[in-house]
Amino acid sequence: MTSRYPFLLFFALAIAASWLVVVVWPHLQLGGLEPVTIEETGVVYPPIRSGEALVGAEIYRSLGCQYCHTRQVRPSTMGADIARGWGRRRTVARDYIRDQPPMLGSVRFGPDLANLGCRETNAAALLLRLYKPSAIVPLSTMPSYRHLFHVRPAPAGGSEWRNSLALRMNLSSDQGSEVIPRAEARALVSYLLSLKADELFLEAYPREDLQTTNSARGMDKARALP
Amino acid sequence: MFAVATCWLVVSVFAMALALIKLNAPEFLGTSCFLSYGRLQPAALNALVFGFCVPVGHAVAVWGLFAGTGAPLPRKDVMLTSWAVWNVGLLIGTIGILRGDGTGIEWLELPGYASRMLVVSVLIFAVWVLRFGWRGCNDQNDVRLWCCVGVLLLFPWIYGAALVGSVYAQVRGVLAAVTQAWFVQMLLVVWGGFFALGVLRSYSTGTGAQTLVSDRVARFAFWTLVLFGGVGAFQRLQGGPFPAWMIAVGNASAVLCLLPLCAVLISFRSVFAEQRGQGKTVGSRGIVVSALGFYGLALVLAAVSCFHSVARVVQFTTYRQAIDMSLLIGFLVPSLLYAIHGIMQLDAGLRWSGQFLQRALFLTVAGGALIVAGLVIGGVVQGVAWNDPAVSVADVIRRTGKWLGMTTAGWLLVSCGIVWFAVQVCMLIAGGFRLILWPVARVWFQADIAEKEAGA
Repeated sequence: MTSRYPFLLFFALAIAASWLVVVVWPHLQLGGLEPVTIEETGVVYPPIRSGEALVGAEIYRSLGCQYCHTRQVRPSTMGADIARGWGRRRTVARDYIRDQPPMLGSVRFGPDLANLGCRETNAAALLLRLYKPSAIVPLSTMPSYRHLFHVRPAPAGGSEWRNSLALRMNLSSDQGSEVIPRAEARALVSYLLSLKADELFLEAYPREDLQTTNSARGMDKARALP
Repeated sequence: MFAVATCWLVVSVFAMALALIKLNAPEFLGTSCFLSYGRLQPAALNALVFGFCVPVGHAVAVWGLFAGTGAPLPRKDVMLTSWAVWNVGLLIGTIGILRGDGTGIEWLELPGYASRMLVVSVLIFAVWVLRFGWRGCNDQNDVRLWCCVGVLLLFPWIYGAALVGSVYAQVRGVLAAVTQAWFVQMLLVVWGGFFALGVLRSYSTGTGAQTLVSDRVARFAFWTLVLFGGVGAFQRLQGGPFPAWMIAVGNASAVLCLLPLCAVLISFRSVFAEQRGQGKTVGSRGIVVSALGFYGLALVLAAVSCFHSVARVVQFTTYRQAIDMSLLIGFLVPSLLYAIHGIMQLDAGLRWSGQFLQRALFLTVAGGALIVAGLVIGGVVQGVAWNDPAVSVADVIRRTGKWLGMTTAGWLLVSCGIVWFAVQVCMLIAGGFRLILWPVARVWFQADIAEKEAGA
């Protein structure tokens, strides 16, 4: 029994050292991040999501969307994410402080979604993408989430539903029926539309560019006011 | 225990193959959300890791601690209770993931209500290890013993810390991803490294072998693995929204992880040199070499991805999955299968069909090679395509598809190997039943018949 306790002590210390470096140290640096107010525009970033979007985040997690889509944009020196239009800056830790869990994703079988709400503003198009992805991207390997929709025969006088997909988008396979998104589909789309990581602030942009760009945006906003 | 673990393995490997098929052809077997890639893949991965790798790794390490002493296992009831709670929790958790209750944190998807059962089980097990683990061990300076204890104590530590940090008392934002990366790295590289260094070496040398000439090297490997292995977790976060120092430390650590790798290889080299000319069991050398090859390949792939030019291509592609699968399917699964073979043979006094085992292990290793090759090449192709803004999303998917097909073929091959192995386990259990239980039952029946005849 000579070396049992020293071994256990050193072993625990070594593992604790790795835990301190990898888990605790980043926590000390990033754990205190708070939302930032951008002076020029008065926007508090990241914004609080609506209740419907928070329900949508749960559906996003439940469906496992993060196994095919990342939500992190790399700087232009590390890849073509910005050139592809997935964002105009790299994502930083502050972008995710309201996300629990952050669902960053680790592999891209589809496009990055960090700024989906910036490049896609049409809810109906997103609903259609969920209902029948191949209608938008032929040969798409994204699964169809039909269980998020009601499909029923279309009424003779036309659908009374604003988001009825089949009639509006003229899907050949669903002729004569209307596709009504359930509350889950609408919540998921609300969450997807809320995905925006485009505000510019200190750690997200070089200081001189930040001031120039935000001043310009502040002026634009002032001009837009009546 | 091994039969149940083998069942988990069969189910998880088939589910993983099905998930890959669903990734390529989402309409396959209908559009049910229970069988979508987003639910099937995490369910299969959790079943593989927590249903097979961890329990069998622990069982093999416990056996490694007690095999040399010849002492009976103390408080078997405690261990069996812990094991039963673990399996029930995992079953509930896997169903929960398929229902959509997963936590959304990769590798830690088991829902809270199920992972609590696993935590209870792990705590019972940790107490058992601390109380009885080293009882009766004569040479407590033996590195193999350290590794067995390391395998047994490390998991409760990292699993508990990871669950607290990323699921129960969730830290804010991206810190949950940091905790998750630490858990996966510790599990695959450090826990797996202990397994290679201690348990696997025991099997390649024979359980009764004395302290080896390369123990100094093995000790170096042990401590460097503990120190650098976990910090390499930062490298998993490359390209993400993290401060630059984290990625730099992770890259340095990933390169430094080559030190313990070299030490492990040197340690095994001396073991093989000692073994030269001695009789070997079925495929022992081949399986140990291939398992270590996959372990080394994973660490080398991780070190290569530190270079900026490589990193910008392989980030967020299947390349990272290739590293994980190299450790999981290439290294851990075949080594654990081989360990099961060794233990069942010695403990029950039963004989495996050598040809059967060789075929099963060959199919598993060949499947593992296809999976890793498909993911590595697919990852590079995928990364090059994503980095060219002129290539459309559909085109990226088309270019990656054939390599994912190769990975799917690999999973199907692994499935065949595992089924082959499971058949052999069933035959052994049936043989054990015939040898041990049937004579007892026959005596009981004969006594019963004799009693009835006497009564008549």
